[in-house]
Amino acid sequence: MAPNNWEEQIKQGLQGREIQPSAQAWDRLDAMLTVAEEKKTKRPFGVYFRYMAVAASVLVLLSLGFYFTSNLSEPEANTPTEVTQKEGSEPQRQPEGTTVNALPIGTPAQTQAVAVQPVATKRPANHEKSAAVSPKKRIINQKIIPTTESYTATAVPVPQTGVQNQPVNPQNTTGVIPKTAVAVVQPQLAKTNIKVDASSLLNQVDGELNQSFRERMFDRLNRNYQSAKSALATRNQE
Amino acid sequence: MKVINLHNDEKEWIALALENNRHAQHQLYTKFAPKMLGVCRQYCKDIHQAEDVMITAFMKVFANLKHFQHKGSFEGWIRRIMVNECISFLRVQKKVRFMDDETFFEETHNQIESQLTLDEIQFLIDQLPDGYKMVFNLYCIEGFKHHEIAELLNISEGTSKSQLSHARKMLQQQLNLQKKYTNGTE
Repeated sequence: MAPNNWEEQIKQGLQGREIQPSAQAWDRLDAMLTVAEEKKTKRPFGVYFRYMAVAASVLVLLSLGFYFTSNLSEPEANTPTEVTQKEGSEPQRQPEGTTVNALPIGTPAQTQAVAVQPVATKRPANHEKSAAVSPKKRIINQKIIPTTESYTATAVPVPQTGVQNQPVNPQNTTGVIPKTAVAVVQPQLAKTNIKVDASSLLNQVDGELNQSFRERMFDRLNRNYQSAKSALATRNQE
Repeated sequence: MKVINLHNDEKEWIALALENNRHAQHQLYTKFAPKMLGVCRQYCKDIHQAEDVMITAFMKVFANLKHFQHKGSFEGWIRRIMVNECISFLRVQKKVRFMDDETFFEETHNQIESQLTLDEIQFLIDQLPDGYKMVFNLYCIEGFKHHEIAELLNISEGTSKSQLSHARKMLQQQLNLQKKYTNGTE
C-alpha cells in the first residue's frame, strides 16, 4: 500500500517554509544581546566586590572581637596595681607604695603623732587655720579609730598647701613637698581600720564601664551594618 | 565554488559572532531567522508568540555559540535549539498535557490528488491539539524517532506512538472533510 502522500506534502511544505520576521525583531534581539553583554562585563567586578565585602566584614568582626576580649582581660590584670596606687590605705598593700615604704611604719597612733606635729609647728607662720587643724588631728589620733568623716576633715586642710586636689597620689606629694607627704600618710594610716573591699568596687566600676562601652560599640556596629545594608540594597536596585 | 565561499562566510561570521561582533551576529540572524520563524510557527499558533520564541532561541544560540563544534551543519544546530525552545515555551504555558494513552488507530492510506498549499497545511496543523502537533512535527517533519521524542518530552515511547496515531487520524478526518467541501458533496 502506498504511504499517505499528504504527509509527504506537509513535510515538504513545512520543512522549507520561510516566514519573514518583523523589522523590530532584530532590534529587540540587539537590545537583549547588549544587556547580556553588559551583565557579563559587570559580573566579574560584582563577584569580586562581593568577596571583598565578605572579607572586609569578617575582618571587622574579628578585629572587634579581639578588641572586646582585650578590653575585658585588661581590668583583671590591672586591678591589683590600681588598688595599690589608689587605695593605699589598706595595710597589706601599703608596703608596695613608695611613700609609705619610705616612712617608718610602726603603730598607726605613733606615726600619726609624729606626722602631725611638724605640720602643726610649721604652718602657723603661713596659715592661721593650721592651729585649728592640728587639734582635730590630735583628736583623731586619740580616738585611734577614725571614721570617714574624720578622714575628710583631715584631708581638707592639706589642700591649702597645694595638695588638696592630689591627696590620693602619694608620689607627687613625696617628691615635691615632704609636708604634704606626711599629710597624705596620715589619712592613709588613719583609714587602716576601714573595711572597704576596693577590688570589688573597682571591678564593679570597670564592669559598668565595660558594659557601657560594649553597648556603645554594639550600637555603632548595628548602625554601620544598617547603613551598609541599605547601601547594598540601593546598589542592587540600580 | 560559490557554496564553498558561502560556507566560509558562515564560518567567519560564527568566529566573529563569538567575539560579540554585532555585524556578524546580524548576518547570521538575517540568514537563518526566516527559516527558524517557520519552525517556531509550526509549534505556536500565534505568529507573535513564535517570533518571541525565536528571539529567545537566538539569544541562546549566540550565548552557546562556543559549544558549536562545526561537526554538523550550523542550520541543524540552530534548528534543534529552536525546537527545544518551542517545547519549553509550550511547557511553561502549560499547553501540553500528555496522558498515558496507548490506543492506536488503524492507519488508512488515503491519497489526495490536489497539491496542498502552505496555508492549508498550516491550517491543518493548527487544528491539532498541542500534544498531537508536537509529536507529529517532531516525527514527520524533524525526523525524530519515537524513543527520541519520548526522551525529549519525558513521556513513554507508547504514548509518543499513540499521540502520532491520533494526530494522523485527526489530519485524515480534516482532509476528508476538506475533500468533501471541494467536491461539493457536503
